[in-house]
Amino acid sequence: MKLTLICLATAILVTESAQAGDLLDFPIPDSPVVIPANSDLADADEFTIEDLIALYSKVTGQHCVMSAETQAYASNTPATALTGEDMTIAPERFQETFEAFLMVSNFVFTPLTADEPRLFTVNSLYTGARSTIKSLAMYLPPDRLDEAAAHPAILFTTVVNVPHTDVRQVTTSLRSMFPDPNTQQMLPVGNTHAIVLMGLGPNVVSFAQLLKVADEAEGRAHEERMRAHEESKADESAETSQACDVSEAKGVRVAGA
Amino acid sequence: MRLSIASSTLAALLLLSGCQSLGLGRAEVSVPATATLGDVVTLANSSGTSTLVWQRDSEQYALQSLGLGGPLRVSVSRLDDVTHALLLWGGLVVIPGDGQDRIVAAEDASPAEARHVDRALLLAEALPPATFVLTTCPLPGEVGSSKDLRRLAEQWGVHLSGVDNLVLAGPADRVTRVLRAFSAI
Repeated sequence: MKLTLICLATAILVTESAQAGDLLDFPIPDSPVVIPANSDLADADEFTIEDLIALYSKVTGQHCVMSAETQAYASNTPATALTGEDMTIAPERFQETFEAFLMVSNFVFTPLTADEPRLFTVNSLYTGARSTIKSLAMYLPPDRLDEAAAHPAILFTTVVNVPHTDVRQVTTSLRSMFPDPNTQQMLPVGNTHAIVLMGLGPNVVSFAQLLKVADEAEGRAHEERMRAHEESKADESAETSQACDVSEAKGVRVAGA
Repeated sequence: MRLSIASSTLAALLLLSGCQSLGLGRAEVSVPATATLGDVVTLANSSGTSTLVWQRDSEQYALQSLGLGGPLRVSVSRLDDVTHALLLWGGLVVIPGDGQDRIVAAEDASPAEARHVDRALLLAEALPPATFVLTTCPLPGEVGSSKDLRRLAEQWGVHLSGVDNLVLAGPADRVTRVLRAFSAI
């Protein structure tokens, strides 16, 4: 009996862990999603970020938790594009478009659970949450970094390895490109060749690419310097041996004279 | 003996799958749209999945509204994890105790009260996310230095103490993020 109970517990654990999902594996709506244009609506009916979040929750089956402060901003911020026309979004593009709407209005999206019920939170960067928002950044391993490009409103942290780069120098020289330490960070990692990057998805991806390009250029420059150094060493030794030959010949002549 | 274990496991799996297909063991609770953090904790306690109590100084967090757009249905088997996710969202951690776990504001939680856990357990995400834990880092052979660890810990709001053998203390979810980033260096 005890054995059966232990096995049952193991089976439950195995079944539960096999269901564990991925935070970035978002549900896709069943059909195209329409976001109404605000120009056709009276002010009172304006389609706001709060409405957009409700729509997103409905079509993806997820649930939003939000602080009262963010809720106040969400209910007062219009959500639609400037074209003045309804926007029909293909199901597979809805997640990215939704996040783009949030991002342009200074909201950050954070998934909280990977399994059912799927919970997420939205924080306005105009609230006090701004100063602690980086603690919500998701860690994304370097080999999955490309996935971040499709998430403009999610904060990510990753580690970029740049073997040919002086990480201290490069982070100091590029610091001016990171004006907001709450949502963007680039930190050199001690005496290694790694840099910790934190920021919104597309920014992190493009900075990682920039650092890789700079690192490859530095690698090529290093190789060229080494080759030039080797060549100059070879020239020097050739000159030295030539000089030796000349002096030896002179010495022979002197000795023979 | 081996045959007995195998047949028991098979029987247990069949039983479990049978129960699930019949909808048994998948009981759900409903969190109302107007629920506060305190309501979720009460629900988790009354459903028997958690034994959470509020630390006196942190009780005001119980009134924090979740701002849900509509009612939230949660299967009882997931209620503990969901409660932890919401507590963490609300800036709280859970300090494990004997029989009862305490809910404390993350900023007031003392690392001395954290539960020591093995790193493997954290990386396997085997603990509810708001569980207040501590673990040691770096392990022999790891490249990153204490300074690097400090920067990562700062980012995710994790306590760091010690000089050479460092101790990370914080909610399981955040400590795991620090460890993952550190191991990528």
